[in-house]
Amino acid sequence: MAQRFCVSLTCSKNDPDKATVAFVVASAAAASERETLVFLSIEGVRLSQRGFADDIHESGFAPLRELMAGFTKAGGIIWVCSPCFKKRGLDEGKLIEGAVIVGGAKLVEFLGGGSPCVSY
Amino acid sequence: MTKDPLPLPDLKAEQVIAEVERLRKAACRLCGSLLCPHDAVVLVAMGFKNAPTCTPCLAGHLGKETGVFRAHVQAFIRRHDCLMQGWSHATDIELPAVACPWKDSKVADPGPVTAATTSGAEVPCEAQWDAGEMSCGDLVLELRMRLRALGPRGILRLTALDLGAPEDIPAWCNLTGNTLIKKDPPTYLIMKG
Repeated sequence: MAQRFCVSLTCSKNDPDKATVAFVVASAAAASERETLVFLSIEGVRLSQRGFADDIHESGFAPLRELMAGFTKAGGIIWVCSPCFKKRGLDEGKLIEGAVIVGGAKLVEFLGGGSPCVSY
Repeated sequence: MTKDPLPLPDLKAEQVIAEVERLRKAACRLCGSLLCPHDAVVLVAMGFKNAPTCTPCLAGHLGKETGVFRAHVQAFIRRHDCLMQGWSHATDIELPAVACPWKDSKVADPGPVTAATTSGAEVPCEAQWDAGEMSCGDLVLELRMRLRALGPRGILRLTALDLGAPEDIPAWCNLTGNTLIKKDPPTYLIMKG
C-alpha cells in the first residue's frame, strides 16, 4: 500500500491563504507518490461547491481552482465532512468532481492505517 | 411555494388530523391529481400544508428523487407521535378510488425484522434502528452501543439518511471487525463481530 498523507483544511474564503497553502502542500504530497487526502471540514467544506474557489487567488501561487483541479488530476482525494456540509446547507448536486462526502469513521480509517496529517 | 411557520415541536395530533380532513378533497397544485390523505400528513410534516402538492411533485420541487424523499419522510413521520396519529387517521379515511402512493409504505409498520441479503436470502434481524439524519461521530457512537447489545453474530438493520453514511458505515465496520452484510443506502445490514 502506498504511503499516505493527509491535509486537513478548515478554511476557505475566511482564510484564503491557508486554503491555498493547504492545496499546495497536498499537491506536493501527491506529486511525491503519496496517497494524498485533503479532508475539508468547517469552512473548508465550502470549497467542495463548484465555482466557490474561482475567486481565490493568493499572490505567489496559482489560483486555488487550478491547484484543486491539478491535485485531483494527480490522483489526490478530497473528502468533505458530512455534518459541516449539512450545517452550511450546501448542495450535494454542486460537488466538485472527485469530492466525496464522508463522516469521521472514514477519516479514522485513512489515518488509522498510519498517515501523517498537517492541518490548516 | 412557501413553507408555513408551524413549528413541529408544538404540533398536536388533533391539528394534524384537522389538516388531513381539510385537505382530503384537495388536488395537487402542480399536476392536478387528487391528494391521498397520507399526502396531507406529508405536507404537514414538511411544512407545506398551505400548498397542496402530491408527494412525487413535492419531491421534485425539493430536488429530491422520489424514493429517497419517501424514505426520509417515512423516517421523520415515525419519530413524531402527532404525525403517526395523523397517518393512522389518513389510513382510516382513505378512499379506494384514490390511488395511494403510500399503500406499500412502511410508516405504520416497519415490517418484520428480517431483511434480504445481497444474494436475496432472508436473514433474521435481531434489531433494527432508524438513525434518521444522525451523522459522523454521533452515528457510529450509538451504532457501536446498539451492536454491542446484540447477541453473538446478531444482525442489525440500520437506516441512515446521512450523506456520508455510504462511506462511513463500511469504514466503521472495517475498523471495528463488524461485518457489513449488505449496503443499500439508506439501509445497511450489519452483523456483530
